[in-house]
Amino acid sequence: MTKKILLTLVLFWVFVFPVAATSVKNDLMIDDAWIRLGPSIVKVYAGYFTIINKSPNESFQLLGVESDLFEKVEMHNTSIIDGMMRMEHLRHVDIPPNAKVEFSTSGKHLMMINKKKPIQEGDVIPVTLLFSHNQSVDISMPVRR
Amino acid sequence: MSELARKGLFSVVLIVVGVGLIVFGLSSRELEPLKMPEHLKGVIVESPAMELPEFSLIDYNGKAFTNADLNGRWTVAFFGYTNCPDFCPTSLGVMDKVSQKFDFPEDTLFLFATVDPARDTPEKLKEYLSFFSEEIVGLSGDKSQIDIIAEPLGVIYDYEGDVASDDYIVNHFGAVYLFDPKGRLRTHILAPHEVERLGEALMLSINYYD
Repeated sequence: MTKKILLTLVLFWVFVFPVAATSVKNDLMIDDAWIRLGPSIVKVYAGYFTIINKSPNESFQLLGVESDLFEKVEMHNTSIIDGMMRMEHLRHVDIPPNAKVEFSTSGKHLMMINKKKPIQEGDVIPVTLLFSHNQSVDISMPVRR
Repeated sequence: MSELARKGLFSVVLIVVGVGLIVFGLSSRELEPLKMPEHLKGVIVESPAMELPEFSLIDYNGKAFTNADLNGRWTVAFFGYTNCPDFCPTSLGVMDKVSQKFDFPEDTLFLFATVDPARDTPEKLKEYLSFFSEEIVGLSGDKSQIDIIAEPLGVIYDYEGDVASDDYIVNHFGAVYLFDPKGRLRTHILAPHEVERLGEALMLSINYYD
């Protein structure tokens, strides 16, 4: 009986964990990752997530983002200044110790440019986040509206 | 002057003064600022009733769209472009929810006008908008025609990146504009947009100017 439970737990860990919304690597945790579904004619998508740095003293920088499904992925910030929508290309994003940095609608977001194949609601897109200190974190980003 | 004539003159003066007061009352109502709750101050921007210069755009069904199409109904309009991955989809989603949730006068027209007509053909707008809403009508056309309405409305926009190679983004003013049934701009509502706030701001303006 105990063995069965253990086996179930292991299977759960192996099969469920990789597609769960949360990814952890050492002190960095990525949560609430998703890609906004767009009309089929659109080639540019927006991606969002929350980065949590659990280290009490180490700061990180998000330096880049990669995905095989897009020609390139950039980090952008939508800023609304005096009613004007501007997109600022971010070269890096600082993740201070013990801090949470959100990529969310009408704020920081991934600009995922030129999809290489059709994307549908429910697809899960593998994406790699490249951090300072040679850290990289693989995440799965579900596509939804 | 006979008693009768004096009475007649007095009546005429009364009528003239009365009519004058009514006309003054009606016209001064226009000047009275819209009373808005604290949380909508700095969100709704009133403007003097402004008619748009003559323009000729193309709607997403390929039909001409001119000043005449604004007559006889309220119009809610937003400017953007289809290659905009973050702000425009968010705002269009909000506008669609607002159109369904709030009690707009019948025939109220919801518009999305592109500031990137080189890429946003009417066909592309049709496909793009049908993803977000059944309500919102797309407008495209010559850039010069779009500028005819964008300029007086203060819809500033600029292209950033390589326009020739298609790799560019468009920075643009993100307000939602409200036109009365005579096609006159009445208010605009500043970004960012949220369902409750945008809906309340539009309904408040419509009820005031109706």
